[in-house]
Amino acid sequence: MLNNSRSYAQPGTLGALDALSDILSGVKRDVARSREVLNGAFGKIAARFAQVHAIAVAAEARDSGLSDEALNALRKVTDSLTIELQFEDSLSQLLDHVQGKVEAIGVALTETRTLVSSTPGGDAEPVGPALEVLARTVKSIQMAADAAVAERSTSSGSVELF
Amino acid sequence: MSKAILTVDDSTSMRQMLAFILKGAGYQVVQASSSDEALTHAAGRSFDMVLTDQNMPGGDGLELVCALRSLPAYADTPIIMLTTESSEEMKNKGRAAGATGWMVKPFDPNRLLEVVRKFVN
Repeated sequence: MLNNSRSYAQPGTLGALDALSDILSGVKRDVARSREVLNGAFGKIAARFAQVHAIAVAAEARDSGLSDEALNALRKVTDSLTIELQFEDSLSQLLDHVQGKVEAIGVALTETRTLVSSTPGGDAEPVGPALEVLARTVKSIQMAADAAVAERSTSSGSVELF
Repeated sequence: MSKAILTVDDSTSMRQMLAFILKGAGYQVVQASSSDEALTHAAGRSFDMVLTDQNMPGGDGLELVCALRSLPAYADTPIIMLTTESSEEMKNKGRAAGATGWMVKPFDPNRLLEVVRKFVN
């Protein structure tokens, strides 16, 4: 959002901060849209999976005339789909992490803008406080990165019983 | 009467997936999309096992484990964390919170059923 620039502020600096805020708002919308697309796509795939799964269950329950080999193949397909469909969850969490980072940068931009806006003309630029904001933001983003989704391969994960 | 399992995950497709697998193996399944919803279900009836995600909006899985363990009816109920988180630090937190086990997503459906049978049957 473009704010009213005070006469003593650096219009160029404030303008750049506002432009960055606008870009970040766009990224937030993109993330939200990505989540919608992802949910929609996986929802459809999950519905197809449900049909295949129902066929497999029915085939196993009745004498479907399918050979053991065919039933085993069908079972392997559904098991494999079960694992692969779970990547929606991983992708969704990765989007959460992206959203968290974008929000952290947004907060830093707002704080920096406040610092720049409140600096009287002629005074030194608020470099120290702005760097503190930057350091805090980096730390916050690093913490979000540490919690990132661990499993990215298509193999299934481990089990540990306590 | 078949054993009842409470599954907790904010992802709709993950809940469906768990329901397919568990119902296919003969278990009753009750689904919750959040920690709060899970606690509401847990207060209304008993379950033989709880499978919960970790990262969910609102209360996370570890908080749910702590909340369930504080209920006398769930002091000994098997609670398995089913999550993409796989760090030792998180697993240790799970252990400290009172979780029974930690399963990393994506899970193998057969492996999941092995674990469920181990505790429920």
